[in-house]
Amino acid sequence: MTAGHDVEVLQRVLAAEHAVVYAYGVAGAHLTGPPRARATRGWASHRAARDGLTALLVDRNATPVAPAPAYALPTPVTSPAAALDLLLLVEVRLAATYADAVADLDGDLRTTTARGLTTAALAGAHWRGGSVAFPGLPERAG
Amino acid sequence: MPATSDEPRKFCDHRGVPVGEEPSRRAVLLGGGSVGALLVVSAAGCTSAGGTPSPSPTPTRATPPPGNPDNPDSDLALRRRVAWEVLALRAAYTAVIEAFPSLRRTVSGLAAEHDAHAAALDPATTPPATSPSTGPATTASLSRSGALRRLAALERAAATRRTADMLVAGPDLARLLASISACETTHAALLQSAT
Repeated sequence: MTAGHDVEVLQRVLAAEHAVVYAYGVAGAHLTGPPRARATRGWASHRAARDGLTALLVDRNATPVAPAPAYALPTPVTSPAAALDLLLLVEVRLAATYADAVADLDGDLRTTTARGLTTAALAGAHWRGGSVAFPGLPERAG
Repeated sequence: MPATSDEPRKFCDHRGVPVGEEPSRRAVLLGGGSVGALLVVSAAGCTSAGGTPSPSPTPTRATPPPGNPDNPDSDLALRRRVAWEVLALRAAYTAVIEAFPSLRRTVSGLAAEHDAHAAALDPATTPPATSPSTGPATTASLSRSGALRRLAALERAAATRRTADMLVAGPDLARLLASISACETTHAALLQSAT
């Protein structure tokens, strides 16, 4: 894989992590008790992933993609149930982004993005209340 | 989560149609079902004129062709080996369910996901007899929670092997193995929490 190719893939994953960090912020505000605590941990975990990806891009002399000022939500988040739906949705989509990155990268970057897939799968299982056979592979869902 | 500029946050409606008047850089969190659909859309706004989400700048990954284009034989051998290992892990579940029927409800869904893994890797694979290292003789000496912990440990070990396998696989098989590894790690966490 060329360095330019790697940068392009990492930028895609970073953009996805920015969106997920945003979603956790929106959703967390509507949660209380244990779900809120779990969302807070998820928020911190995604911020750490974002920072790790940013460092990888800086190491490659690339300018990391910035977060957008705003993200469109699929539905308004006005209740705890809607907040939980949003968190599951973004983890499912993030897992798919990471799975595609695994295919597009090799070596250490493949390992790093596979770890991101696992983290998204664990969080998705938490918000869903169970596992799926192929996290990150929408063509094998259902 | 604060926005990174002074302008107010703007949202799109459920079809991604912009809400509000001011043009701004926005991103769409709903991708209309496309893969990797945490779209970040630049200055053009949320959507195309038709109100459908803008296409992702990255190609979507349809059903990929199987095999490692660099070394198809290597990928085929890897698929067969991992499929066999997955079925050996599946056999450990069978043994636990036989020893502890009350655990069927807890673990049978997880076991079925291993069947799906094996079929995805190598449809021709036939289930092995109970694995010697994980069979009923071993399971019988365990308590119920000990059996769950043992399955969790087997899942963790499998997930670790999968991440090593992934490094020598072609792109599409690597993607599948990474997904299976993530599933196995998730199983380990679920089993651990059930003990």
